[in-house]
Amino acid sequence: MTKQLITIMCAVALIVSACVADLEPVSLPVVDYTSELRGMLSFDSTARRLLSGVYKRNEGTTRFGDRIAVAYDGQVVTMYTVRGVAFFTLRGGIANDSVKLVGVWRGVQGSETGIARLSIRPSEGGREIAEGKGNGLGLILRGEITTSSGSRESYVIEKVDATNLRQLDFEIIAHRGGGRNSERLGVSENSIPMVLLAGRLGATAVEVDIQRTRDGEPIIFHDPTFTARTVPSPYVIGDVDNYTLRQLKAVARLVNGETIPTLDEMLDVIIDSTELRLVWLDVKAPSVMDAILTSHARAVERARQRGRDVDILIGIPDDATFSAVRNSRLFGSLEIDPKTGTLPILCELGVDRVRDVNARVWAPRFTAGLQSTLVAEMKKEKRRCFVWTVDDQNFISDFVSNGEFDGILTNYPTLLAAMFYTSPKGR
Amino acid sequence: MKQLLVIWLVLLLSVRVTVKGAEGADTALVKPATEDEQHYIMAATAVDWWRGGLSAGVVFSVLPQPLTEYPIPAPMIELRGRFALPLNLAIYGRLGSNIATNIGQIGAMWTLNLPVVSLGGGLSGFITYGNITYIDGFNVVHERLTFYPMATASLRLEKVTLTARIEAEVLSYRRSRLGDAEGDNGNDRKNQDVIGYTRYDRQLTGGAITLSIEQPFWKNTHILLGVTFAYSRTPYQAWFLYNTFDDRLFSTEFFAGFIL
Repeated sequence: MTKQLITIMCAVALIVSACVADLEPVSLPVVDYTSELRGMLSFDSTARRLLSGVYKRNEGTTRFGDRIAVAYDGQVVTMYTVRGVAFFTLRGGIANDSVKLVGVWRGVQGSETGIARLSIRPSEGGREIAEGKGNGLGLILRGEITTSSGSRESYVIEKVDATNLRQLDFEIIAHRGGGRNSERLGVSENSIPMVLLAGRLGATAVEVDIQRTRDGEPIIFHDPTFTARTVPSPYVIGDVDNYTLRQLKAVARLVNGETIPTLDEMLDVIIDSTELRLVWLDVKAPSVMDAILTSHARAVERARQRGRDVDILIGIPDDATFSAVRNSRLFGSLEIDPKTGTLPILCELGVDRVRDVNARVWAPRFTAGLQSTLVAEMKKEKRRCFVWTVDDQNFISDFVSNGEFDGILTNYPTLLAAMFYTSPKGR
Repeated sequence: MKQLLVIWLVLLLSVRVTVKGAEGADTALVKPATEDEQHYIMAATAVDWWRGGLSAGVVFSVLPQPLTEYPIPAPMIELRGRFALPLNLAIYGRLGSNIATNIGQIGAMWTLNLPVVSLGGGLSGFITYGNITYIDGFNVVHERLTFYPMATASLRLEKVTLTARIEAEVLSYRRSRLGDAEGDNGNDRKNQDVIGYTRYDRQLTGGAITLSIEQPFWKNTHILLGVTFAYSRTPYQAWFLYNTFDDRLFSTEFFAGFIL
């Protein structure tokens, strides 16, 4: 009897623990933008600038807190909130001196999502936007949002600060191209669709990870091995560098169905199709450093030809990568920035190593604290300082308010954008 | 609260009357603890005053996968104990450590013996102290106080006691600090470089179900074997992963020990 009981209990425990896997997927509601915005004129860059800024809540739902940052990414108007850690992606238009915005919102730390329908009356800023005048201060967005439970909540916010948030010299760096798979954004970490989404999440920069294939091709992938977390296929398992690029392109699909991009493919998309200002290449395969530096040089040239101001940095996370960079035959071909006299390198090691390799960026781990003295030293040498990877709201608040870093790497660019833009430093 | 007190007093009175009237009769509504049960720790069985047990063992946790991304085991050594007080009350507690995470728990419960089952209810406080400053680059200290109201039911078989315990998790206090140590990266850090936060929350952050078996093993030694299924926003063993998910996460904790 005893033995049976123990056996039954162990079996139940194993079954239950095996059954519980990841978080439930999140589906965004569908909006028919064509019918919602029929007959309206699209926003131009002036309208987007007038909409951009910091807003305060006047009436309605409190689920997004009292301060809201409004920015834009391409044609899309975006909103970021600290409370609820939500991002909005809104499309809109102008008709009869009124502005209409419609889109979806999503709380990225949970599964809350819904539709937002907002408008600006002619007397509350709509006319100003239609005529492209003023700075947008005092304009009022009013309307309603729906929630995951189907309820409707009114929402009225007013613009109280006219800073063009996208112009601020602070990098909101999204981890793994925008977010991890566990954020359930509907696109996979380190994928092309993820970097296309990153700007809407609030990012001004992205960090992507570089692994290698068996035939020496740098690819964008985080883990050294394939698991169900990243590539849910029974046929793609084991070490990443056991597969050739051709094999991976043929059979490996990320959790949301995308193919694994090469480094060249990723950099081309970032340059051609995003407004991201900086790319942090987190090298996890130093053995293909020559190929990485070749891709880097090619991308820098491509950006120059297209007039894109994007800083592509070679990340050095450890001693092996440090040696690989220094010993690469292409190290000498890295271009020195004429303004700062530094190389396009981001070094996570100590400051001596940063100087040794003349890195443009020093990036210590967040658990070392604010490190004010060293940050000041680095800035005096015209180097930038980023800190990684900060997700906790309390620590983000400390780094934003009390730190002197030039950027923060996070899995929640939405939260960082909302906190930075609505903080005194963000203005 | 008053109702709970009245219910408790009525139950207590009925138990005392029944025990007095039964005097060992097989028809008693309550069944005193056997000699084996006097040692058990997780069971709701009421035992003689000042009797109880202390187990030394190990815990093996599987941290929530969305937080860790990879299956990361978190073993810990622990002591669990329970000692009976008058009026069917008992104190119970737990101490555990894997160096990075250190825990201490102490609580009180009231128990009631019935012929086949025993029932109990109680409240405990649970302190977590996490420290990984000894790992280069992880200059982090964390403290946390959580309360666990619980209800327990035990099935009293001939030699074995099978116990199910259900607990709510109420987070009360958190404190985290970064950059405490000086000299990291060769830098003499100033006090203003230390960052951190203190929060008094008092929020329901989750709950847990624990199933356990206690039985004789060899001579006077008994064994304790169990599993806890926790569903929590703040799994204590994952404090250094800084959970940022609004969702409650599932984690499993297996434990085994020898009752000394």
